[in-house]
This record gives sequence, structure tokens and C-alpha cells, in this order.
Amino acid sequence: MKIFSNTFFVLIIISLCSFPFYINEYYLHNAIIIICFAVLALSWDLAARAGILSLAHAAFFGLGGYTSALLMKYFSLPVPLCFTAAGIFGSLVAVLLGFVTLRLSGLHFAIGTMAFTMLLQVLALHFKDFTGGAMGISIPMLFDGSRIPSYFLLIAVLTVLLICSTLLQRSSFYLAYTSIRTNESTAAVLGVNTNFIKISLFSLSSFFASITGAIYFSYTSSIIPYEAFSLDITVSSIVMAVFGGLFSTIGPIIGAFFLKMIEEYLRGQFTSGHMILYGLILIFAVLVMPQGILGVIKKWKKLFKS
Amino acid sequence: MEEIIQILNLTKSFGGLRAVSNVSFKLQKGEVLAIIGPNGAGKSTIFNLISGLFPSDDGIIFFNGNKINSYNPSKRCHEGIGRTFQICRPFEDLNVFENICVPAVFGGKRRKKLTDAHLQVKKIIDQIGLRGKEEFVVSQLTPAQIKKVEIGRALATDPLVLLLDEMMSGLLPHESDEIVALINKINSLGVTIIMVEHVMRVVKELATRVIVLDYGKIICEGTYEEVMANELVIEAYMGRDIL
Repeated sequence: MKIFSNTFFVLIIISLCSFPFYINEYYLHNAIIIICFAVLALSWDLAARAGILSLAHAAFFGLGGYTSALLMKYFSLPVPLCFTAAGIFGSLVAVLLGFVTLRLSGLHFAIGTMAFTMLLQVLALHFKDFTGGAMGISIPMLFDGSRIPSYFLLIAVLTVLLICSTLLQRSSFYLAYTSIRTNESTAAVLGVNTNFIKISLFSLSSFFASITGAIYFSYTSSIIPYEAFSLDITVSSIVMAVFGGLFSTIGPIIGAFFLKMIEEYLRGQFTSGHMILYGLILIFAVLVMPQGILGVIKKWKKLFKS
Repeated sequence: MEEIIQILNLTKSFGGLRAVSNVSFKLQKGEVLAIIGPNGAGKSTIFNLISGLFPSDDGIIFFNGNKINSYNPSKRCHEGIGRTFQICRPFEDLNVFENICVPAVFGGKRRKKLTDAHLQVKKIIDQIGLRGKEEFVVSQLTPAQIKKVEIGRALATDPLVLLLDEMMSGLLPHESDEIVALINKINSLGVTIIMVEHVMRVVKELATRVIVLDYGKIICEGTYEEVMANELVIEAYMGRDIL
């Protein structure tokens, strides 16, 4: 079912491109964070479409950040090259990790990927001479601290991811990953090369997480292990995808937008305890709309049609 | 006639239970072979071994002249082994058309373009009599229609051999008749069929040869009439007098 019209998308794109010029730095910073999380949520959803419950999204986010930071620090490579290398390295590591862990199913895979995140964090802390340990690495500020170009760079990444996601949803890949998600052994018996599809999606998902990590930490101009490999990043990506609507292109983006707005609003209104309220809102949302915001919109559309 | 499947000493154990024990048989092209036997005799396990869902502990499976033991399930499908499941496993997130489209794209010898696959799916939907139900999701279908989707999906893999696992279970007599007619039609197109079945009326009507399994072993092989007259078969189904 088509949820939004093309005109709606054109209006969104126009407003996304024009509003950074009318808002102050505070809102622009929040917009950048929202876009980062939109990329993370949508890229996590890409893998989830094949039933991959990855808890390694933060691992790739941090791995991208560290790859880019180390390339800048030790080789003084141009920034665009560092970002691209971070994305490619992340996706290659995902292929290797996929070969090892994707034979595990469901929870076991999730635990394996969580262990991978923790392993990277320990490695980043342990090799102090190379990674800076707990103090991390200082990185030259992206675009010399100018927020508007950083915003548009992330919009470009989100756009590429949107295109990838839409193309996947319209291609035969959609049939393959949906069948794997529903029943992997049946999909295999019907000719779907399940390992290839799962590793491809996991790798693509990790590419975007890694490149986002590279850009994000360059934007914040420093990277530390506790922030880079924080499980919060993975959990937020998952919660946003679920809140917006799983297995869709637009759902995770809607989820990232609303949840970050709610979080920021509560932070502004309550000096303490805002995360308790945030948690309560999430519990309420999951109970009331298990299919996410997109599920509610779909239901309304059906009701109006009938 | 040409042999399409040859199974030699196939064996599979689950822990201490030997589910399939030294099973050997051959299948000629165009045949309809029925495998019957009491519950737990190892019938579905043989299907899982042939389709690659379980690795065998011992024995060799030749398909179309090639040893396929090392092939994974998707490669076996590409080689021409299609199957259905005892408990139907439709993809609930996909509609009828998409369910059949999955194997139409990925199940054949070569991966098909979506446009070509769509044409094939339309033909299959006509063949299985589900025209008008393309957009239906599984929850909107009757058990017989779900069975037809299951057959449709197996057909979309362009199989040389079709493994049908208890297609008649849970169906009303007139629904079984529809499925029997469909299987006959598929067989007449040159597809070799192995079926696991409990409904003897269907076995009698369709099978050119019957194999009887008990405790993982073949106890009898022959025509329907031959196996039904066999003492061992009667004992396996009815038990032995102890008085």
C-alpha cells in the first residue's frame, strides 16, 4: 500500500533543503542528530528485513568513526576518502562477521553481535598507543565546525540510503528477504540463496552505520570508546525503527524524527527524570501501536477507504 | 526408462533414535512413488534428507546422475527438486502472488527477471485454480487453498521431481479430489512425483509404485495391491495378535 504521495515527498525534500537557512544553531544541531539516527534506524531496518536481529549496529557506527579518525590521524588522508574507507571497511568486516555469526539463529545471533560490539570497545580501550584508550582521539572538525554543510552531507547519505531502500523494496530482493524473515528453511528449499541475501543486507546495513559513525564523530571532533561502541546507539536504532514501523523505508525515519523530538522536548521541560517519562511514552507507544506509526497510518487509510 | 533419483543406504539418526535406516530405492522419470507407513516411520525425514534440510549420516543420494549429498537446499532446488511440507509453510507477510513469485524468481536453474517470473506465476495461478485470489494473504485462504499455494510454489521451481508431503491431511473429500486432479495434471506434464500419504484412496489412485516404511526401514515395495496384501504391512499398521 502506498502511504504517502509523491507530492508529499517533494514538499519534504524542499523543506529539508531550505530550513537550515532559517533556523538557529541549536535546532540545526538537533536536525543533524536526527538525521544521523534516521540513517542508523533505516540501515538497521535493512538487515532486520531478512530477520537479522543485529546488536552490532553500534559496533559498525564506532568502527566507522575509529577507521576514519585513525586514517586522518596517522595518514592525513582527505576527509571524503576517510569517510568512504570507513564505510567500505565496515561493510567488509560485516561480511566476515556475517560468515561467522549468521549461521546462528535469532537470539544466539543477537548475543554474538552484542559480544562483537563489546569486543571492539575493549580493543579500543586496550590499545591506548594506537586508539588513545579511554581518552579517545581528537579529530579535525568537519567543515571547520560549520553546521550547514555537515547537515547537507548527512542529508546526502540519507538520500542514498533512501534510494537503496526503495530500490530493494521494489526489486526481487524484497521477495527474498521477506521469505527469509518469515521462514528461512522454506525459503532455502524454494531456491533462495539465504546466506548470500543475509550477508549482502548485513553488509549494506553496516556500510551506512559505519559511514554515519565516521561523519558523526568528525562532526563532534572527537571519538571515545564508551560513546562509539555504546549499546545505546544500537538500542536507539532498533526502538526508532519499531516506533516508526518496521520493514519499510519511511517508518524508521519517522521513528527517528518523533523520538528525538520527544526526547529533546522532555529534556528541555524537565531538568531531571525526563528519561523516565521518555521510557513511559515508549512503553505506551508499543502497547497502543505495535505496528508503529506507519501501522496506525495504514489502518486509518484502510478505514477511510472502506 | 531413465532413472532420476537413486538412493543408496540412506541413514539418519537423531540422538539414539534411528529415524531412517539403510534406505535404498530408485525412481524412474515420470513415476509416481508413494511412501507410506505408520507415524514416525521416517517418511518426512526422507523428504528432508532428499531436499537437503537435514544432512544424512550415511548413504548417497544421486539426482539426475549427480551425487547431491553436499548440495545445500537451494542448490538442490536449482537442480530440480521441489517440495511441499506436511504442515504448510506459506510466507505470511506475502500475498498469494508473491508467495509463488519467490520460487519463480529464485527456484529455477537460473534466476529469472521479475517480469518473466510474473508471467510464470500467472500461469501457475491458473493451473492451481486460484485466479482472483492473487492479492489474498494466507489468513484469508481455506486449508485447501493454502495447500494449492504450497503446490504452486513447488511448481514454480520448475521441478523435475516433486516431493509432496501429506497433501491430503485436513482436507475434505471433495477438496482431496481437486488436489488429486492437480497432481495428475502435474505428473502428465512429465514431473516425477514422490508423495508421503496417509489417505489410501489417494495412494491407490495416484501411485504407480508404493514403498512401505516402518521404524525407518523399508519393509515392502510394489504396487498398491501387492503392498496391501503383504503380512508385514498389515502387521505394521494393525499390530500383531499377542494371544
